[in-house]
Amino acid sequence: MLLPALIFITALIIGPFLLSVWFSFTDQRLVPRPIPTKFIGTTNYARMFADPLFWQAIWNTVFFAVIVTPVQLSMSLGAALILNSAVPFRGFFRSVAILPLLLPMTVIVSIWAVLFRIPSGPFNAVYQWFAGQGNYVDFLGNPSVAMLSIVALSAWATFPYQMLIYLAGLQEIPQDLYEAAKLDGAKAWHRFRYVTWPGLRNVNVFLLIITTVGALKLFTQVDILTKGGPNGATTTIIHYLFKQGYANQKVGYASAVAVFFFLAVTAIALFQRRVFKNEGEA
Amino acid sequence: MKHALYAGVALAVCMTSPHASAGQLTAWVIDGDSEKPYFTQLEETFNAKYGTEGITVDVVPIPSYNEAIQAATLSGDLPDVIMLDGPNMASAAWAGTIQPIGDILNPEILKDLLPAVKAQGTYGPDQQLYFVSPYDSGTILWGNTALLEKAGVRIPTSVEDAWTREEMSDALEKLAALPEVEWPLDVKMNYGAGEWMTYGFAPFAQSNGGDIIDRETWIADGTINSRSNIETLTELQNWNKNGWIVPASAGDNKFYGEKTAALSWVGNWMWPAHREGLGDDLVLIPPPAFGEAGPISANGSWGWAVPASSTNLEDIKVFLNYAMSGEQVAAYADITGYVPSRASAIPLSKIYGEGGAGEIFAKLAECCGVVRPVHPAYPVITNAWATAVVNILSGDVDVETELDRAAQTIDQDIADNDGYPPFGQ
Amino acid sequence: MRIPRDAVLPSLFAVVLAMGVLLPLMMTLTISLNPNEQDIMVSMGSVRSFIPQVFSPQNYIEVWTDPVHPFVRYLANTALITFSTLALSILFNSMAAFVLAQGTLPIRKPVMILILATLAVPGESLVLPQLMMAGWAGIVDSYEVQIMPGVANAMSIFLFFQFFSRLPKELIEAAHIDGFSFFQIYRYVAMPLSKPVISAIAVLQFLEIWNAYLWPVMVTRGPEYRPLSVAMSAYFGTNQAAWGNIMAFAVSMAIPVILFFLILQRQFIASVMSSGVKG
Repeated sequence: MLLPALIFITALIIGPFLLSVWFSFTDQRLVPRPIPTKFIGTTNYARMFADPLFWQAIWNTVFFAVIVTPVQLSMSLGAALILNSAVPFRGFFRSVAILPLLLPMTVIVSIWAVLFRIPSGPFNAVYQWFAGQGNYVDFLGNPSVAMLSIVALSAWATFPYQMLIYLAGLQEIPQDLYEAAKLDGAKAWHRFRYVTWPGLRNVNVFLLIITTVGALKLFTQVDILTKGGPNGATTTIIHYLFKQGYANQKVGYASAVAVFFFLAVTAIALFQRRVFKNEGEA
Repeated sequence: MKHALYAGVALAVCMTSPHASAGQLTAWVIDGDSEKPYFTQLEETFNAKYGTEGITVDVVPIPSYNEAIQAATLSGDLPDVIMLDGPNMASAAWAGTIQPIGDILNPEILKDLLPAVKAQGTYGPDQQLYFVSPYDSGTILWGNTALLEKAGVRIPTSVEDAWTREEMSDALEKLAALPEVEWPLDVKMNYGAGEWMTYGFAPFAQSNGGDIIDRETWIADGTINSRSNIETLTELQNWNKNGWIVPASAGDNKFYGEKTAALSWVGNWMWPAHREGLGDDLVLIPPPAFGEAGPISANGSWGWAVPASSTNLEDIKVFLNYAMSGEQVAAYADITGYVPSRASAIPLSKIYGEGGAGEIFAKLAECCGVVRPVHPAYPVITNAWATAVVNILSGDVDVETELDRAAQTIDQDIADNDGYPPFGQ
Repeated sequence: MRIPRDAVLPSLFAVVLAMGVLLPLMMTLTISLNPNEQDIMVSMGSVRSFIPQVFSPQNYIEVWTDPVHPFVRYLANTALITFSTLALSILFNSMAAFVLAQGTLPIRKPVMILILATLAVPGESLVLPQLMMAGWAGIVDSYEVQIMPGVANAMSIFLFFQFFSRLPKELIEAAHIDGFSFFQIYRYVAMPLSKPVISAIAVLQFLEIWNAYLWPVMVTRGPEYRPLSVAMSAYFGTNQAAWGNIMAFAVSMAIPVILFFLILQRQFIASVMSSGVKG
């Protein structure tokens, strides 16, 4: 009974993992070529660390994660607080808020492609309302704005997931804590600060980790909308890996990137867990 | 639940594609709006003609074509006949994924092929033909007469009096000043960092005496990042900084739809759209002379190739010779707006023949076309160049750094592949 | 209806939130119903692009009948891949988790640690070796190749494991005394009790497959096996000028899931919520 799952895990996770470690030390190609594949030591790693585009990809990915995580989590928490309060039509609002989660990323991307249109898409229409006719922002074509546009899109696309988990967290906080705080004359902000926020600690740690790790994997939105451009401004690690390993067929090189990515993600997740767990205990 | 599960798995196993039987050919073609009607009639007329002899073809347009070919190469599941982008032929021939087709084409077709088309399909090491196309293409400056006249710009009519770089820059400045013009020049940045960037922009470099790789030594350093290329791309970068170039995200139709761009640098496939959009205001202007080499037009095409795995050569021969027959080559040109690849078909064409509106294209193909490098590293070469061009044209980056990086990428790849033997030996 | 005083501000925010979600979707619907591309471009950005003025099925008919992008085929592919992945994943992973949680195998502990360790490996870093292996196995461009990675799922083993370890000892023992074999206990005692876990895993995996892009892009070459999500991006890529059709494609893709969700709303929300609480 254990065997089928074990076979799948071995064949599809452990095997490929070991294989990619091996590949990372060779000049393996995707499609066979008429010259033999060689063991080339750490050449792939050396080249990777020497490639400015690789560093740009790392920087972009970190930038994205650092911005999108707090933005998205505050959106999610805000939405959860609203939907946890006594608003009328709560069921309706909750259903509406969940909609983006149901749309596949590819659909969301094409919708946002319209929103981002220049010079007269909806976002630019709003912008022109403030900045005057004839002005526009090239949301996807301007290197300093492109990644922020991807942040906005991504936060919109996935915030309901974290919102639902926050809602679950909010509902676990004992109601009598609020009652007690109210009796003590605590204002809404104080109730949030001293009852809600501490009560969400575990949820926060969990969401922080999964949101960051998810953000580090950014690929779909970028691949469809900007292909990593303009000027590498939206190249992410996974997009870099995909481009090198699939489009350029350099599996060996891309495997070095994959091994690096794995180590980085693990390190970041462990680090976050450690820091925030300790803080909670102190 | 269990039964449903087995049913699901069984269904998954059964729904694999049926393999082609003898006499039934499958050809994969690109999924483009302008080519679609051609391929539809190709399939219909071929099946009508040869169906009685037991040979039929299924012409399948494939979305995301390059990815599909790659996946099929990996799975060893290529169809009988495929389409390739001409410059990628050398890479496929070197890797052994396609086979020579010179022997199965009728000699009269071979004799009749335009030299540039034949050069594009001939693989250096064995001098065999691996690729053949029913058409050739070219780039040109398309203009909106109304806007050009309003700006008081001279409109060149022949290759001899083409604009110089300064003249073109001057024209753009005047056009940009018109209130109805948003960005004067559309160079199809919206096509993205793909083949267009090499196809469409290498001519500017070549016109100024540059190229993207040395075609003798197959070394990029010193050629792709030469002084003249730096000069050429700096000029284009300045045009963009001046706000003269339609940005990528502004879409495809600034020239022929909204008419807020006065000039468009693009290939002849835009003929139908431009004709329809601009009507009598449309004018065809020869490529600008960026330097001493004079005007250069791009050339090349997608065309037919036969995977090495295909064995049904007798039937494939019938199909290829039909697809390359005079009537089909002419039909391709008439439907899609491309230049016919057979010399004998050009005079027959309504557009490209003597006195036709596109006569200049046929002239350009004769005088001013430069074949893209026929080398197995071409996918890397074009990718490196395209990346550099897009970066240079969409931001304030250092031109020389970008080109140096492209040179390094290309030379490193060639070294990694031991020089792509027998090349470089 | 009177709104209580301390709900005024939250209500206002709720409306803002709903608008933020609904406006883009209204725009999608509006554009999809407009057969006139020229008009779409002109009205884009104005209020007219958010409220349907015309109700034409033309874009939808074009999308559903496009022979190069067979929408129905893509839909069937997606359904088949989703269904097979869920079924196999739930079956295999629950069986494994039951052995690990309630079995007597001496190597349970190291196996569990190994499985948990694989949770740390991001799937994205494995796609290239997986692709090579699929190439060697000759299954590139097939349903299998899209189903298998979802079945190898340490997360769902873990969720089942957590649930099965908390089953009351007495219950298992009672079943044992009644003469149930180990498999029968799993099949007739444990599984019927684990509906909440099953639905949580089903929802999570459904969302994963529904959003899958990187892997299907690499392993499918055409309409035969391609899922909807990739078809959408291919369609978006080749029909850049036809916004009406693109939006009709998007709506066609969204409607079935939204309907499905409205029917199963309660379970869906509960499932996602339960997935996070015990992080």
